[in-house]
Amino acid sequence: MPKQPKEKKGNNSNPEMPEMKVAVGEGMRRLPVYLLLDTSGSMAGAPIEAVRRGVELFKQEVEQDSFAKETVHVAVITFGGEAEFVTRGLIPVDSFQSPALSATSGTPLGQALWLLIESLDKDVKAAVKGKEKGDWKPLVFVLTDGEPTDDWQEPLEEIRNRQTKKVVNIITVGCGPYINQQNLKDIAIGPTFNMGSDEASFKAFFKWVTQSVVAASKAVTQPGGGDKPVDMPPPPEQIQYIP
Amino acid sequence: MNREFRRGDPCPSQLTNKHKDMRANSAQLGKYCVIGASVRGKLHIHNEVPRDDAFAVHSNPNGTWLAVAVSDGVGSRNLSRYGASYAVNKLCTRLLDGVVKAKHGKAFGLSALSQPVASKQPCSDDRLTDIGDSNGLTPQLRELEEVVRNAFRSTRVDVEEFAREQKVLLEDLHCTLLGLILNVETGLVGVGQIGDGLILGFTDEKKAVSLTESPIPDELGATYLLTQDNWEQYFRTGSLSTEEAQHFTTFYLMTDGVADDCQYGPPADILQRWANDMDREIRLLPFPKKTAQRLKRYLATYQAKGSFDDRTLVAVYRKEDE
Repeated sequence: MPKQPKEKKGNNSNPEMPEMKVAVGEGMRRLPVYLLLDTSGSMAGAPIEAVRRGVELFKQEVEQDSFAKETVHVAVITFGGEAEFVTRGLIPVDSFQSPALSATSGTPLGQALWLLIESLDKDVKAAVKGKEKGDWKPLVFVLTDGEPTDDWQEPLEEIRNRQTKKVVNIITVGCGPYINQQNLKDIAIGPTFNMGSDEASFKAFFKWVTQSVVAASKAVTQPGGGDKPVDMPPPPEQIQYIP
Repeated sequence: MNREFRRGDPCPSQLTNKHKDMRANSAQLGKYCVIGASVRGKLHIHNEVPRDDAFAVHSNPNGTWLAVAVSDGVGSRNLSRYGASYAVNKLCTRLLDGVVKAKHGKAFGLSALSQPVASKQPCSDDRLTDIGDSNGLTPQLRELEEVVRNAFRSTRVDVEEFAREQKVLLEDLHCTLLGLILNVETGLVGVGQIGDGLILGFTDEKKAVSLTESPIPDELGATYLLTQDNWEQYFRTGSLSTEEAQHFTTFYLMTDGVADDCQYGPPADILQRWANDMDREIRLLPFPKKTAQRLKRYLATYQAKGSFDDRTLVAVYRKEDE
């Protein structure tokens, strides 16, 4: 048996050890964040402009966090007139551009939820061992100023009954005086909130969405994380929790 | 001559014991070298919380058996590092006790040696794919896997007792656990796993083979744990006979902080690439101590998108020309 060379004492402090060069996978686990935004007629004017700016603020602030920036992928679905999947899928937050928004009569939340279901099936990835990492459970925020004008119960029931690619976080936020709090609570999987419809409230809302997303991006990367509703950071004073 | 050693994270005696941010250790036993390293992940550094991973490597006094364990403490439990470091040490102890006290105790070494091992027979692909499937095992391997199972059971009881002594809940010590027991004279191997992570074998034909098929929960991001109810439902064992083990030059045990970066593509063959690269790198220098330090530095610095978790890897490799 050939003799093994003896380790010289003190060599372990030698800084000139060659770096290891080892291949790593390029796949990663994404945190899907869905923004379902009411663009009904009552949002026309200042409110919808405030929403647009809020989405832009959300993008900028999420990008500031090095963990969230790597994992957050955004989808925007608007519901006013006809529901529209504005981003047509999940987009890395650093590639995402805040969309132009316009108000149209009608509040088709049900249509928006069906688009969400389609996206959960098509865009959110399940883990396949040896092939690709699955995504974390999606975060869904619903912002609305009034009552839905179509059937939202059926798609919501379907979301609640999902056995794969489950959704455990639908956070609903009502803005303005015409919201139906009970509806908001029925739609939510998780907490429900209320806020004003002025610019400051929208700004505060999107800032809080950012904080929640950043917190979630940290919670889910821990062992055991990602399988229960995210602990939301406390909302600002402009946003009131509906018990 | 007493060849007993203990490397890796020390077994905690209380919940105030220090758990280092980084650790690297090495050992040699018979024709095998062992290197292990564990580092705090970027997220833990950012949140200013300790490393939650742990590893341990033990040998028995006559230097015939090597036990290795790695564990990942659940991040949402701020005492889980104690669960992890306690579990890895207890599992190593239980594995070594188990092989010596088993019905064929010494025969795990002797009967295997008594069978002629004249020349290498190819390890069939069927057996490679069936590792982890207890059907078709010899009585010897069946008993070895039972030793592994009992060692995990006893470790679970040990952790429960530790929780009671420390006046905390068992769930405060939530952790995964992966273990390997190796006879360094015959090459006989037994493995067990509960939770995420990976136990990998690397063959002389440069093929990477998972030695257990540990179930993954349907819930994205969740894992099974030693410390949960019904843990045995999700526990898996595997084994290699002496003949089969001849074809394996290296074994890796790793927590999911590393496993996630080498199992999932693209590229589709990432696991093979990773295993080939890692095997080359750990054999580059003939100094296990220096290699362990290199490994620690590598784990602390390699970049992979979305990879923020603690990283722990132990490699057991047969020396060249052995």
